[in-house]
Amino acid sequence: MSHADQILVVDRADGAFQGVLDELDLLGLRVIWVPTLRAALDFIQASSRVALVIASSAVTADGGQEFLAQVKDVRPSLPMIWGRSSQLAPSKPRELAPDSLILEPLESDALRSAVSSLLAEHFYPKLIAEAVQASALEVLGTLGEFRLDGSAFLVANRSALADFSAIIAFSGGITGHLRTSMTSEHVTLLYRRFLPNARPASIDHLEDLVGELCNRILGRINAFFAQYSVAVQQTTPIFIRAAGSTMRYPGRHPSFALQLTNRETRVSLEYYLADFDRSMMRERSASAALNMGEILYF
Amino acid sequence: MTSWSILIVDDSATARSQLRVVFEAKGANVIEAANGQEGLWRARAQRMDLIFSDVHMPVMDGLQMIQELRKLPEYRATPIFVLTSDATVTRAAEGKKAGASTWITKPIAPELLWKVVEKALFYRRPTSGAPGSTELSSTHNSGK
Repeated sequence: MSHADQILVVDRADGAFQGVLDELDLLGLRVIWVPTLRAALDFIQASSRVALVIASSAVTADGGQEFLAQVKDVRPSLPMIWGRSSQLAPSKPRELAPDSLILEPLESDALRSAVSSLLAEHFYPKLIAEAVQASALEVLGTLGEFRLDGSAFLVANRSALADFSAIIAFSGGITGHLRTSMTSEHVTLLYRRFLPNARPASIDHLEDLVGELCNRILGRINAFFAQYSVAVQQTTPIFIRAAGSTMRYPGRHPSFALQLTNRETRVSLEYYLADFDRSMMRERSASAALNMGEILYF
Repeated sequence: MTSWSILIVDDSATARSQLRVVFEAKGANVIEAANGQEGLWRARAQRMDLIFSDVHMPVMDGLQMIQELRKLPEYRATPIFVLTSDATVTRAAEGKKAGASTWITKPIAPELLWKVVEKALFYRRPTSGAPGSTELSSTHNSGK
């Protein structure tokens, strides 16, 4: 993963995608615009940083099949989204097809959803995505029957904050941060589960609990990386009380976001990897990490 | 009757409270500290029978505190448990080198922790609280 990951948009100057370039930029991605498939192919051949191609129906209607075949030769795993005019005939079974088709005129949500879905694997490989989810569910599972609300999604480097947020940065073999956020109402309910017989919690204690959850979840995620000999050093939590505000951080690619709920509470979680090399994840040794609640006597 | 004095060192007040509630219900005398430096100060001011410490804390981390405590004659044999979210074996090895007796990964049910405390203190009589006044009937669970 690189800071310069690019989204290549292929569209005429007055085309259907003109209005959504800002949407893609908001997702924290660097958008490169080219007007023709020929120019797009040249760019892909010249740059290994292209993470996704989005092409409008205006440019794919003529020569789209040839373009798909050429791109598959150069970069077989490069995902592609094509806009599809509602008047266009469906593709024939033997034709090459892009990874996703979205109807034009474009709706921002549909485009964002398609981009998020196709880029999730690029930025957060399945192995890591599953580890983050499992870590959160394992830790929160000690406080109730939590489940994933919807699916995980990518968010830009501008995070929407709730009443209470805690952020823990980490560095070493990987760098980034984990953020947990909760509303005042939900963290109050969770605090009662954490300390059933305690007096009503102060604001400081509620905030502290959000930080402790962040700490424990990150501990489990780091244990996963330890199995691949990736050493991670984490810091202590930073706390933010800022309902309705956003937090923006450096970095030009998205975070991996999850919402976890039980019957009464919701925890928002964002995992951001700023620096990650896939080649590190080859050999696994499960004995390099302890299980949750494990006791090691010396 | 004198009760066991247990020092809990953790920068999370809620994590400390969770242990305090359970340990006090069992009759222990619980003292809290929010970082390693405060933990050292508390341990010097009052003799502890057992110490729980987190690792990642501001001012002074848990492993540094344990190293300092092990230099004090009255804490050479005291059980010191690391209770942390850090679950890496290499970090646990650093804890052992620093002088920790046991490494426990969070979260863990506080009731289960009490069983571990009872096991560690089984052969020990509670101290009277003043530094250097330890009475040991056995060297079991020497902390090393």
